[in-house]
Amino acid sequence: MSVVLNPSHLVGNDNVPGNNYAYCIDLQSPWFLSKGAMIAYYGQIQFTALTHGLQGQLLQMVAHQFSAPLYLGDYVVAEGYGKLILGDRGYDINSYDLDDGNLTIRAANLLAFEPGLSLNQSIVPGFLTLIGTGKFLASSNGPVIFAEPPLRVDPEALVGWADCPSPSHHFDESWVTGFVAAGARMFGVQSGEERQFDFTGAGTVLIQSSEKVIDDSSVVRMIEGQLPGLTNSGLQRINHAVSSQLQQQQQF
Amino acid sequence: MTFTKVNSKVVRVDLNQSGPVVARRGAMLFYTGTVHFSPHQVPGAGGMPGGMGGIVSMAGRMMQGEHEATMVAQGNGVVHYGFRGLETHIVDMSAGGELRVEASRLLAHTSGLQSAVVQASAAPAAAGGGGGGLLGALRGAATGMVTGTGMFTTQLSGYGAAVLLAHGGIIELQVGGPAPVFVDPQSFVAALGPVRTDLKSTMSWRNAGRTGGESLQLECTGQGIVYVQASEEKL
Repeated sequence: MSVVLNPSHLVGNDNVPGNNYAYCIDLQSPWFLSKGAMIAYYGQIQFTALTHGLQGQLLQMVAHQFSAPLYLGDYVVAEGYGKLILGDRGYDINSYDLDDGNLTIRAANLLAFEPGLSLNQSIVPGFLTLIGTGKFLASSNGPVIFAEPPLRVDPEALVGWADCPSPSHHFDESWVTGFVAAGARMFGVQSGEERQFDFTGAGTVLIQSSEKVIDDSSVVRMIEGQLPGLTNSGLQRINHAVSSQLQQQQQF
Repeated sequence: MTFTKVNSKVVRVDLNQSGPVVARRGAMLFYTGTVHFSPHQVPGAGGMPGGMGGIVSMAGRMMQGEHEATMVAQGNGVVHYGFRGLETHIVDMSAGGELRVEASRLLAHTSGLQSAVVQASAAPAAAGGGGGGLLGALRGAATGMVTGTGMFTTQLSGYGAAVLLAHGGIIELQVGGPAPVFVDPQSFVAALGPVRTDLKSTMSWRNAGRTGGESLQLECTGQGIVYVQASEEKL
């Protein structure tokens, strides 16, 4: 028998009772929220875009805590009082607590975080690093698997990593014929076993059952941002790589 | 058990125990240890156990629409497999047997299993096959149309283990009781053992368009298990 929920069922910050796919935040202070993650709320809550309309305290908070310019458009600030229910593509949602720690997470999987955490763009494209103390919510396709290095992870399956395992690329060079071919596969659309993320060092790696990357807008923006500095021949090479990739995709 | 479930969508396998594992390309999630991945059934990669490919056979499979790029994992270590968040289901074939499954629904199998392409509606090795002649061909074409991948299906035989993929959870239906088992063709995932699947149509000229969408069914007879997914999504 299903229960019709009312605010008294939703106590504190937790998954909606009996539902791994929805999460309820007991909103008392502002949270950063991924655009489109809100599915319902009780109470008085305002959502303000980071790019305009912020004032006073909130503007200062954003300026301090949010240093990921590529993702400014992807997050909003939720402020007010009430119960805020989040969902994401039917993925499992979990909350994590960071205590003066750091964790890097795939941008598409970060749903919300408290302003006690500062958000920084990771040097790994498509990933964000959270530093500080506070709570954040992340979604994953199936339950998250925690694993310890040394290990190698399929780029599509990687949710994030905590503490300091050092990530690097690993190529099964035995049959990746040329570096250009490897470069063409760089951006995750076509993932074979020939490329992995290699993790060494002490820490934890978070993994999900692999997902097809649907929203690659942040990667696109990152590539675009680097184009102005390129030489003529470099641009031509990218042009070539893009057109051959397009041709490949049309075959499917 | 060769494969172990980590959660509903992820399986792990210890290559020391299982020997080389053949899996769909892109299905490896992560691994520890020293593991080497190489394309399966590609000329020049010879000497691989179970790799009875050769370019002719591979081309044939592609033509039949019954081919997914696969990778073989060898070495010492533990590999985790999953595919696009689909549910996984482990089929234990340590006692031997035959498993018929579409290539698109096969996540991984131990390399000791022999794989071959057979006609979709034929019972493996057992009586009758898919029926020759025009009727058989028509039936095959209809099955292909319905399941969306082709008239042919992959058959694994021998001793080992395999992992199936499904959208929504998998349920196992025992075939061989007094009554036949009917399955929606889109929910059909795989059949273990000598199970014969025949496409039945309740559609005729008289009731065309008024059958409520359940006019095509797979009738499963014989002895074995049929795997059915809780969804009608094609893979």
